[in-house]
Amino acid sequence: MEEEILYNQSFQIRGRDFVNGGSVSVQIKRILKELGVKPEVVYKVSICCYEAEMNVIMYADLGTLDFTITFDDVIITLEDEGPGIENIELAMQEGYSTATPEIREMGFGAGLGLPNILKNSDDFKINSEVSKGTKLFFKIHLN
Amino acid sequence: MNERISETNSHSIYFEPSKCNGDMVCLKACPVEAIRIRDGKAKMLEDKCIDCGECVKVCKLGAIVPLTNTFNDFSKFEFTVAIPSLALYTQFDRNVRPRTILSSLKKTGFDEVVDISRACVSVIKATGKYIKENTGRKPLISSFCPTCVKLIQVRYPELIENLVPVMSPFELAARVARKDISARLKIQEDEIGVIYITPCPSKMIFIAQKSEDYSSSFDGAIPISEIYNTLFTAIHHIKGSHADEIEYFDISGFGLNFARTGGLEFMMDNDNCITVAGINNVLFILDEIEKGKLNNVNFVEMHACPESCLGGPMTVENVYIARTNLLNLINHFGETRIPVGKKDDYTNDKLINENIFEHIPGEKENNDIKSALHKMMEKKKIFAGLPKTNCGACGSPTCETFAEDCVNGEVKMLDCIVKENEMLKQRISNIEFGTQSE
Repeated sequence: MEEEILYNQSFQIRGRDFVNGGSVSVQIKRILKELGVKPEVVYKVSICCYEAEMNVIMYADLGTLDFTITFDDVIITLEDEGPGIENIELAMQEGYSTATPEIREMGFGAGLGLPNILKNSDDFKINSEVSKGTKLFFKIHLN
Repeated sequence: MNERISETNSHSIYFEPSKCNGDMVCLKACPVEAIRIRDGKAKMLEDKCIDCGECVKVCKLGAIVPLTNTFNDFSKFEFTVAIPSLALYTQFDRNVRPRTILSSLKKTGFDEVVDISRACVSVIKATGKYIKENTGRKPLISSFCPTCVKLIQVRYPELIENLVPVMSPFELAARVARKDISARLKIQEDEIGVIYITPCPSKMIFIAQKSEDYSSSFDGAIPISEIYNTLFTAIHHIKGSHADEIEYFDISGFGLNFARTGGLEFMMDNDNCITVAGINNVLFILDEIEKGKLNNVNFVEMHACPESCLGGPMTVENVYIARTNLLNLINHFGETRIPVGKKDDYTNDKLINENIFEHIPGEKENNDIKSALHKMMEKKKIFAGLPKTNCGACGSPTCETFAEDCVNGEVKMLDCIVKENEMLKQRISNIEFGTQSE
């Protein structure tokens, strides 16, 4: 059964835009807080969104984050145009990263992004095509 | 008095309508938009207020009253102990030393006074250890400022886990003093009144807190500003001709660092900490933590007032002089490192209590997402039609809060004077048009 969509909003994320890094996840967080969603859920969603958003900023050229609320879940899909991920299995390992030294110097690229999303979400899917882009899907239960 | 807090509301300040003339000073000063002016009087939105006391600082009418105690509230106790905030040491001439201040304070009518600088050292040791051993969330956040704690509980509940659950030094000193006096003088613990001499009203929230997991050891608090005049006279009396009455107190110069902004960071000797003071700066940093930008920082020292407690709403000396006084004192006592080899009275006490900070659910906490969404959309629609001048004439601090109040049925669209004006102009032009056509 198709779940009823209560709210939907899309956000654009530009690659290399470190200045605005984290701003999409903050907007999402604001909305969830305003709706009175439980703090634990808000925390999980914002961690996942932040990691996903930073991945686009660090590696891709452009990303579209689609944010949906249903009765039971917060659903995020994030599609980006970028280099894609060569070996998803490796990328899912904690500590594995292809970040450049510059990015690491800025305190990012510790290789915890995707594992963190997996850890904090209730449903997680990832598809990637090298030199085209990555599609990320995750879901967090509201209750 | 503690009952008074829980009876009326859970806040440490009270709005006295008879003294309020409805000026908008407090409305604009409130950093969390928790004040409304309705029917010409300021009122507090209890689920939004964080007890920072910014409104107390700006209200010149005395209409915002801190719910602290006066001396007489403690007459029922057999024995009274005053435990002053370190900020008290900075309120007088730089040549007046803490020992003089403490001895004089005792003379104003307490049976005993206790210095907290030693307790500060123990607490900082425990905090430093907790931070070093932390493998969980980062950054950890200091929990000694009650306003910052309440702000997190109310507005950033997802960061409650980041608070360091170490007992505050004044609480530790109070608990130890009560036990010690009871044992030493054979007085029942509940016959001892332990009183905090406070720079701010928000400490009253900690003091009023009585739950299974955590109960304060204080029976109340008297503002520094309340005792200042009496204490001032007592100090001059003792300095004048009664120097022999100045008692010895074992004050830790190192512990005094606790009172200064950046002091915790310095005391813990951890090079990956930041310090933030002033409520608007605190809000900014909490937003940054929310964004995930501080995930690499170990610890954030947070104070709601500029220059931490020295800038509290119930201090007397201006904060810059107070700061210099404090630095002079730290120099005078000359300890720049954790004192080694000294007997530590406090190490046996349990300083960590993970359950101190509960989430305070605000008005918004609910499970009905659908109606909450409906409200949010409604609010957006109303906001779009507002002038966005944030004039405050409607009694809500901003157009956005007005839209929210509108949705909650507390105000009507035409309470916005710009909207009302538009409507009237429209009516006038309708009438004029009507007359001409007749």
